[in-house]
Amino acid sequence: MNDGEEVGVDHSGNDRGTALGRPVTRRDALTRATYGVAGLLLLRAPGTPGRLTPARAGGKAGAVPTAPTPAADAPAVAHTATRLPGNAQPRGLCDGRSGVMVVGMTGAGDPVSWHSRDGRRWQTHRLPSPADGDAEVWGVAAHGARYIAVGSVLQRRAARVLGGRAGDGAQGDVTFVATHRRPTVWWTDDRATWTPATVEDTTAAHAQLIAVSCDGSMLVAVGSTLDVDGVQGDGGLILRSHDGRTWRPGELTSSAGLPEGSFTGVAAAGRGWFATSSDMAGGAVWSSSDGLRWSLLAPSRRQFAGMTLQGLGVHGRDVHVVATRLADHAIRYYASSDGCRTWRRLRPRVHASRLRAAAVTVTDLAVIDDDVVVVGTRGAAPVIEGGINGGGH
Amino acid sequence: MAATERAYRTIGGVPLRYLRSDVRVRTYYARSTAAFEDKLDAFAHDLGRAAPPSYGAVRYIATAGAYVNKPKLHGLGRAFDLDLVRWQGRTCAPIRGHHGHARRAVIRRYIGVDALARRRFKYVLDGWYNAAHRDHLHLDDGGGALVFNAGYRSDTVFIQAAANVMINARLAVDGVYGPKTRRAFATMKDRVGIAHRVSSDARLYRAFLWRLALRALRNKGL
Repeated sequence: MNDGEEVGVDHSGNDRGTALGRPVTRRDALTRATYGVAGLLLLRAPGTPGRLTPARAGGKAGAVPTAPTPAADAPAVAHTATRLPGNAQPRGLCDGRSGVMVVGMTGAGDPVSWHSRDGRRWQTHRLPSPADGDAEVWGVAAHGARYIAVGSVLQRRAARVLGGRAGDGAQGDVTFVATHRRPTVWWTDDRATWTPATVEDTTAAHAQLIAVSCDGSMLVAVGSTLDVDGVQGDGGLILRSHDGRTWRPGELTSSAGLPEGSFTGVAAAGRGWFATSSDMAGGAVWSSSDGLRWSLLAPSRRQFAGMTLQGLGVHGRDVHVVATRLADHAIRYYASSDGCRTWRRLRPRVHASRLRAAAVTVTDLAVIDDDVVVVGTRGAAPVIEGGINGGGH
Repeated sequence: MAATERAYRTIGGVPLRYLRSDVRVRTYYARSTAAFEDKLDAFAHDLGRAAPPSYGAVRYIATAGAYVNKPKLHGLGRAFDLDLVRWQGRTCAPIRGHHGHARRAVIRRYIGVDALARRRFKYVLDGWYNAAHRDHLHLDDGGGALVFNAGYRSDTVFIQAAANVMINARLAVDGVYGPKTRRAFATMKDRVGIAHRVSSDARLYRAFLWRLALRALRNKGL
């Protein structure tokens, strides 16, 4: 899903290229990778064999999907891809004791999950909406043997009749339905049956959760409060929990204004935490020692100006992020080994696709065992993708 | 319906540009749903049709992003951030804070573009809506029917601002749909000859917005 080297273009003669009129990439030429098999890009630390391992801590730093049917002399995690079943858009992923979990949304607006124990066979399930709302799911983390997903529910409970006061003269009553977007969590113990609950621990009229992570015991979920009409994010939201049911708001020690933005990712990092945000100006990285009090890492504002950050993962001392440039949608991978003060760009050897014309998106990143894994879409197809890191280390 | 099912460099035949990366004006490669692109096409056509001859043709439209890989409507390929409209002879530049410009003609031009956007998109967040939108217009189609909704701040602040520059209503632009705003809105509707059912009849609301835009783009009050 990175912006690979383009070796040929399917010229349609139409300046408005579509997802179908995508360029032929070097990888396509070399591997004959088909449209639906382009998936998993694992940016694997050199010298570390991939393997199927039970998760140790859960959350976004944990254990591992295996590569599909590796040859005897091939790395266990191959540079191949997995197309997820269906046509929903994956939005978040994590690893846990029972395998990899991915959550996303169908085109019809239904939250779904994909689960796999081996990285090859995936089972899909639907996440239910609370009784009176439309649900959106964004992130997922493992919490012990359980998986916790986060998102929001748009509730349409309150209605009021404005009648002539709405500027309609005496033309009769007009009913407006007031809406409230509530942060929502789902949990599952069997990887199939999800139980939803809205989070009432925020004072904002509209708020949403976008990502969640676990350090082995504590959960931290991040997202945003929304503006008064509930149209766009306008401030950061941090919640912390030990059980996934009761949540305590975190504190943002620096300005939390995120115009048209939100926190977009969070990951446990040893004895601390990191989070990503994106807004009109671009991306930024935040840090916390306890998951409650968060500070902006100012240099990251410059580093990720003009980019959105979709997610992050931690591997040892390295923090990995995936970014998309606002101007041309090019996907970029970065890593930091000094606590997110400086960043180096990773240039994976695997050239999966040319983003600008191929309608490829990356929506989340996680470190699973020693690999960086991303989920996203290629065209309308959901994919989970892995590979190796060619030049970053 | 994928968020990125369409990719394009023009809307309604008008080139898209990106101004925010550096001083250069760059070609912008937008992505969105097909349905949203259709609405952008219609909006771009309206910008050309509604402008007086002195404006000339629309040369380009600058955007801060359509599909953007982040939460909410941008992430669904159903939103568009408008930074600037450049006709041959005129410019409307939300990115330069034209909603608060010293010259009334410039503010009216902004009102005109704002009104045309509202004919196609339910949610238009402008410079009066909140501080985050002082430098761009946010357009998305996530809000349901294209009617005026007094319960939305985004609708009310627009009417208040339009009333101030089009009929000198001297309203506080606070998003509260009170008696003064209601009277000023009724006056504007009367002066463009639109019946009052703009909260329930999308056709009438769009007609009101069109007539408002025609006057505003010509720097003429109501």
